[in-house]
Amino acid sequence: MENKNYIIDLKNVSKIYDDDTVAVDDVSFYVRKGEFVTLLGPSGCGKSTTLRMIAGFEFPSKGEILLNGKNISNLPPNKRPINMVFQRYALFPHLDVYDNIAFGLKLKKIPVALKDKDGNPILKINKTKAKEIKREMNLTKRNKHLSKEEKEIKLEELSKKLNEALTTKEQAYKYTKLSAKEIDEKVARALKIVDLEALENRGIDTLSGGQQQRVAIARAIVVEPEILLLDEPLGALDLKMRKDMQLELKEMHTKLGITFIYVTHDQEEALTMSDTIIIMKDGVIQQIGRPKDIYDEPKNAFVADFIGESNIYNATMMKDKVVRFLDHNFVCIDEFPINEKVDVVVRPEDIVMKKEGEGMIQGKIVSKIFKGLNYQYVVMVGKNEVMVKSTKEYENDSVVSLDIEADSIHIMKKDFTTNIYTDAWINKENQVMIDEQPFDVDILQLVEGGKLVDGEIVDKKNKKYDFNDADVVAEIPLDKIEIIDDIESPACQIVGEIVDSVYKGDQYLYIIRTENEEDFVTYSNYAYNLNDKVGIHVNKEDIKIRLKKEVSNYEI
Amino acid sequence: MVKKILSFSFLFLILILMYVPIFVLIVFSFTNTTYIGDWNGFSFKLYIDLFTDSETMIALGNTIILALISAVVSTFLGVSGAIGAFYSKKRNRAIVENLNQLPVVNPEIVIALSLVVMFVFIGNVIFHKQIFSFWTLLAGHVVLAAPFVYLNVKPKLQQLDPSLYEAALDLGCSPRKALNKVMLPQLIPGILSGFILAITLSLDDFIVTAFVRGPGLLSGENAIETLSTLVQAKIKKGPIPPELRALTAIIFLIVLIVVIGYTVYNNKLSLKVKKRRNY
Repeated sequence: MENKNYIIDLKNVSKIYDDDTVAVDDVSFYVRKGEFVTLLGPSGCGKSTTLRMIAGFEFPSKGEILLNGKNISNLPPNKRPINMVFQRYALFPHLDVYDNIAFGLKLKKIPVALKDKDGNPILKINKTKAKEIKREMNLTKRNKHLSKEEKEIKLEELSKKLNEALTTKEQAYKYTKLSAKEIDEKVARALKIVDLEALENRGIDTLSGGQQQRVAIARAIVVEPEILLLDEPLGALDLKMRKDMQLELKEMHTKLGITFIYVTHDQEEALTMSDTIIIMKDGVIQQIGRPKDIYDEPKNAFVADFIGESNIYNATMMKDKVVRFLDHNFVCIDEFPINEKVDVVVRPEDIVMKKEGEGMIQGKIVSKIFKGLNYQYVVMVGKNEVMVKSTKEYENDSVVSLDIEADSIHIMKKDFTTNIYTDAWINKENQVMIDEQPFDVDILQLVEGGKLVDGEIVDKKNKKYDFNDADVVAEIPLDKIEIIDDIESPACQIVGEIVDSVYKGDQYLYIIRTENEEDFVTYSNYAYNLNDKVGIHVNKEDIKIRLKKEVSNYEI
Repeated sequence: MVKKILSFSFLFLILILMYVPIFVLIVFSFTNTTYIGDWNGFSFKLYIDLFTDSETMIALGNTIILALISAVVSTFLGVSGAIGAFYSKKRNRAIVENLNQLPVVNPEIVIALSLVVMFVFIGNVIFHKQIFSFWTLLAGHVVLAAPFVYLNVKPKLQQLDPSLYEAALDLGCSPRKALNKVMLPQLIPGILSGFILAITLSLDDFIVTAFVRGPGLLSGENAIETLSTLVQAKIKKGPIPPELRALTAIIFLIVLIVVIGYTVYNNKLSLKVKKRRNY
């Protein structure tokens, strides 16, 4: 049956909203008891929706959520032993610190088994259970996203359960509340855990952000939940506070032994705190693993770019365990078929910088930033940028040589679902620069409710933005890149060479590599030969862009 | 400097225009002449007359009972309407909002006339008799006040952090408990000001009252007389009855006390620190 160690188990869970947007798409994962799990991803990736389904604020359209092996998919939030720390704390402003923390305790009902005079358990039909099953049957009937057969199977199962509940007698319970003294003791203990003993009589609006944060945590842990959910709880704190709270949360997790499920878009936070990281994008899980494994062995270019800093290159397997990128054949340890086009990730700190002529490849330093611990260089190798971190100091504009060892080259299978350009940026004309070529793009997608007013980008709150030079990640779906035969035509935005073609059923999948070794992957009905020079055109509305930094950095 | 003096004098002008008539009225409530301007010595006669005049007392009683009951009913309707509409789908909310706006901007005479037509119609078709009574009067006042309660509560709902309700559910509240323990306390200021507005609207309403009243309340078999209808009736026959000066002075005093008391209470509330038992 179910694995006893899994406290929460999501099975093929999807959430589809009324307007047919898919927020979460067939997500499956489990969390072990006592684990610290982080859901990580850019905004809009479905991580918060997943958390809200675990909390019970949203019900899954498909799939099941099991808590200790029991299906809780449609249980309302007040019936789940799961508590949440909200993004903006959601403290009750009409109550003071003490009453906020005591709120959940005052509602808590403790079951006491009923016994008759002789000490035998009293048995009764469990009416609440029957009510819950009926409620679930109604929800199932109204669910638009299940097929007729799925519904019938589920309803039959539920009616069987209902029959059972209505005919078999169970141990009856009466419910008592906590005494004022017990509540007082528990609140005092919670206040001590979050270091707020002196503030119990203060009003919520007199507290600083950090203190409110602590009250929110105390309020959630005081009811002794089995799982604590945290929805970007540190987002509103300043950097220093955030670092301190990260450590404190981690410590609290160890001390309390409660399972934590944490949601964040901050990869560093995820790496510092978690036992397991689940990376999501567009409602789909990209990778699940321990922080170190994800950092060292990212599954695809998206994960590599999202977790830590990385150099990502398009490469070709030349021989067994030899890969070519940056115009050089490198020895590597991953095995891939010869001639396969692959993605290569090299972490900046894994590249060894040497004096001119001493290493494998030569390049010129074009930028140098002192980062405290080390220098961060950008080295131009041919037409490619290589980010290198080194403790040694080299002059700007000097020619250096770089070594990349076999075990620091991580090779990933090419992701043929979408084109991702992780080093794109926005130019003065609000175009996106991919491979140093301008592409028209809908810049307004970067801000919520954005519109153009007198040539300036304005959001729905009338804040103005300037995205000149902003670093972005650009995405183009495979079927949206148009191949143009005439490379002199004005529609042609970039020219490249066809380096790979795969016949897939009725059309070809081409990889077009530009001079700068950027790849454009696209489908076409027409046959081209390898090494053909072709042009590429992408429509304005088909490029999706996402800022690498917070949008607030570009406010003016 | 000149600007400052100008703005101050403007403010004073408005205050004088607002308060001088009331002040004059209060002063002349302590003499027993029929016409304001004559002064024949200080006396409490008007106050004594007021409390011995059963007609006025009945009207006062009617007015207060009607104001309280209609305020309670319209507060209940306005608050539940506001909460319900706020959490409905966008389209439904827009419909309710626009429907609510109509009685607010509509001239009162239109409301009064349409109510009369409706009550006559219902009376003729369903009850086969006149149905004008306390209940029609109450309905009229509720129609008048409920939209204003709605408008007072709506901004409070908009200010509310949407995750408060979810936080309450998360900590073990049923939806109803979450409403009572978390949502309503946040809405109290809006509800209270809506309630007071409803009382005020009912207290000084004349048009709707004159159209839809029927027998009942303290007036017994006769049509319900409220202060506004009583004054209107008396003015029709002759000069403004002097006792009304005393009545107005008393009403002003009560309003003054309530307003000051409310402010003081609010200020004290924010300073109060809860004392807890220590085990």
